[in-house]
Amino acid sequence: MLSLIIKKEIHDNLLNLRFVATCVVSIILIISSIIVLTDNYEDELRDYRSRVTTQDNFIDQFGHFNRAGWMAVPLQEPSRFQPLVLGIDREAAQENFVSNPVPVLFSRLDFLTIVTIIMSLIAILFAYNSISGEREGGLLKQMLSTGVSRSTILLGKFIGGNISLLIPFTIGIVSGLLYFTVSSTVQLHSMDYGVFPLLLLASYIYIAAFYGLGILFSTRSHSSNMAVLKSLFAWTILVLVLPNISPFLAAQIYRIPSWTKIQQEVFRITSEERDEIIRKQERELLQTKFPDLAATIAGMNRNEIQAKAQSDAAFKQRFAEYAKDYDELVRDVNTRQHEQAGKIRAAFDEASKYQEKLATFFASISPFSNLIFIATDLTESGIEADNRWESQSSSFSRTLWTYMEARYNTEKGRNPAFGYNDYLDMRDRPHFQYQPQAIGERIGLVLPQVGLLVLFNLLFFAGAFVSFLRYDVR
Amino acid sequence: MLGTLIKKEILENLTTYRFFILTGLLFVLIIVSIIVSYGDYRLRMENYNLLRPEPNSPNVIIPPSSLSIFAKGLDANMGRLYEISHLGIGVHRSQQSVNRLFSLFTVPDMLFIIKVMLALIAILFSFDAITSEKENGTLKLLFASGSQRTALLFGKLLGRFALVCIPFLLLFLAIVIVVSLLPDVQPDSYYWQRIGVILLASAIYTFVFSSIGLFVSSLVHRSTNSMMIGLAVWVLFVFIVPQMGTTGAKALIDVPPSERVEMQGRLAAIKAIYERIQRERTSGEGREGRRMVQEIKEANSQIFESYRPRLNKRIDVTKTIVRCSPSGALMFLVTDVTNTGLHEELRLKNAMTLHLNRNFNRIVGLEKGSIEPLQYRRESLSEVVYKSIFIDALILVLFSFVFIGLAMVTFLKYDPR
Repeated sequence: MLSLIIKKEIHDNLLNLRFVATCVVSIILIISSIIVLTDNYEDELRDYRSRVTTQDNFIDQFGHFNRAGWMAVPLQEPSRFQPLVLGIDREAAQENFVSNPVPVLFSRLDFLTIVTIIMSLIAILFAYNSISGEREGGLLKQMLSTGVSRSTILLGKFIGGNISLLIPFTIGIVSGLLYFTVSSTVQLHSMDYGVFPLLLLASYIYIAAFYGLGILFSTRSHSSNMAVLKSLFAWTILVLVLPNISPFLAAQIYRIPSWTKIQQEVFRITSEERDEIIRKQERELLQTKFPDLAATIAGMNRNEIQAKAQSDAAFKQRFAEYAKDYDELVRDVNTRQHEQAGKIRAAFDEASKYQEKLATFFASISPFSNLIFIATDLTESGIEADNRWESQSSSFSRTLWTYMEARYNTEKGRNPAFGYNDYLDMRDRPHFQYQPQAIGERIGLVLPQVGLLVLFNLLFFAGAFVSFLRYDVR
Repeated sequence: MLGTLIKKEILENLTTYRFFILTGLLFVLIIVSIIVSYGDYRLRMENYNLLRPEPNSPNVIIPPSSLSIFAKGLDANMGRLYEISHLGIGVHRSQQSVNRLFSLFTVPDMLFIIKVMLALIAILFSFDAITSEKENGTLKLLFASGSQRTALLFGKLLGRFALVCIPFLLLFLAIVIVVSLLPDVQPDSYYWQRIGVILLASAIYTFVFSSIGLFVSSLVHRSTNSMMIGLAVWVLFVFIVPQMGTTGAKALIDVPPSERVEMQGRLAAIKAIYERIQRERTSGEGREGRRMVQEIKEANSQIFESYRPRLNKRIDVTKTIVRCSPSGALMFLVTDVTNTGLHEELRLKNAMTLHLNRNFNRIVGLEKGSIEPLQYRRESLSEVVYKSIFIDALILVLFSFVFIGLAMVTFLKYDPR
């Protein structure tokens, strides 16, 4: 009996205008968005590779210790899954004066937007009159009079409706994925292929949740007009309101200090204050430990000091001692100042991450947000991937710093007059290589959100079940 | 007859469940949106007060616009601290970018409510204007009573439009009055004039979607089909076309990413500093500084001059594509009226660049004297109307004419049986 009801539901939907609309939306929209975004991705990847080469060539030609960190900035490769899920849009972050402002006003249409907004709305439109419509048509009492249980009817409608909704969606997404995977520029790792079925499964659960929501309101209404209004009301709250207010609510409940003020303070501690301390300690060092050298080198420029070091062995030795102490002084001051700045940054990072977690908690009340988190975490285009990139790029910066210090000290050993602004050959330096998160870890990360989506399904279906048990079919 | 038909439409729908639910939804959304937007505005104002530069500092920060409570647009980005130096214009990330959820979700300001929800409500009120009468059998009765098709159509359009627009306008006005009394909001005559323009634009926008709903209703014979098509058109105009605009413009106009431009500027500055140091080793201290800053300035100008026109072209193409939707036109119109749009953002950046050029020698110490502070004034309403919002207003009016025309053509051939 259940299979009969499922077949009936699929048959009714196939002959409906909304099925045609779903086919059009799913197949045309998904495929076209993937094609256009794949082209965008190819351009961005090409530009990224060119920037890496440009930066590397620049360091090979002009590398020096003093500004090496400013030169060797870790560059972020565009996400391989960008044609599917844009996630955190770098352009919308507006990190430069020359950034394009349009993405702040209008984001790009990706697969995730199509599923979260359009497919959820279509699910509502498929489901809102599944019970109330049959009641209005008189079919419901006929079905019940044949002895079919209410639970069988409800389950049959839920399964049949979801199947008819998901068939065109699956055709659209599979076609789009085929284009995406065979594109020559998109180079997926072996574990990336595991992302596709997971993304598809999460999308199915999400769409089924909204189908369940539609059925719930259908069982709570005696006319289809009322059912659609209630369903759209709920859809608006869950998709357009709750997720969008969550970061603002979190920002107002848990305030964090001004990011710019923190940056200014960090800059002041690690440059102006640091330079002031170094100058003061350098004067003290010269006065207390190297008074003879202070008198000699006063008023001499670098070339003159170098020439004297080459001609006077005693001066060279004395200057080498001073240079060693000076470098140690600079290192100590840098370390202390960076530690101080690090504490300020760490406190700010902790506060901002807490605010983010709070916003995520508020947003998780909506299935919409949960799918966003699942999709962005699976495709490494979300907050977790951003944290991971920041952590790896900071770690690389430290590794690079260690390498540069070692290179500098080697050169200094050969030539005591070697300075921070002298050319430093860094052609054998380490290069930044981002390590993506293993698929198992990403699955572990999204499990709570998947659980929440399944919970939404169960809640809506249970609500529909309870309502339908008492539903007046006359 | 028209007056009677309008009155009939209003009275028939005023006591329906639909009216209460949709008006209730609008009320809840407007309240929530204003609470959230005002809180966000206060945070941005606090940030501005914290970061105001010292006198004689070349850095620039402008206060947030109080109208950004209604249409945030690009105000958060425009309100960042701009650090002006010999290296060019640096900008810190906005306070909002610290919480990355802001980049995953949309701002729920009044503009969002109008653009998305008001349009949806207008469709939901008008999609069954004709089809429900047909399904109930009252349409042929109306014709039999001597009502003309044109009068009937306009009666339904104006009646359904009034049902959506009047509650919204009343709610919006009440909210605007409450907001004007809040701290940090200075309502002067310009404030009220701009609010007036927003109200007018919202009314025209609502009219467009009421016409769309009516057109769809006169196209089909069943309310369920009419609702499907109406919602499909809503999704197309509110979500698909505006978002495709950004994607399409990116595919059509090739512009180097801003990361590349930033890298070029950064490496040019490092190169100039490095070469200065090398030159000074041979020629002596102090003489190469002027040459270095000139090199940095010229490099930045060249990079900017080759990049900016291409970016402007892409923005223009985006605007053209997005304007194919009434939702896109409304977005540009309202953000320009509130001085939080693309036009104002470009104006501010141009002002920053001029500020840097005017004060460059004093910033780098080549000239004595204090740095002229930037006296930035957001564009007046008359200037904005003349330069940008006139086109968007015209587009909205054109959309309404098109859909009314289509509704008339289809309804004249509509079979009421």
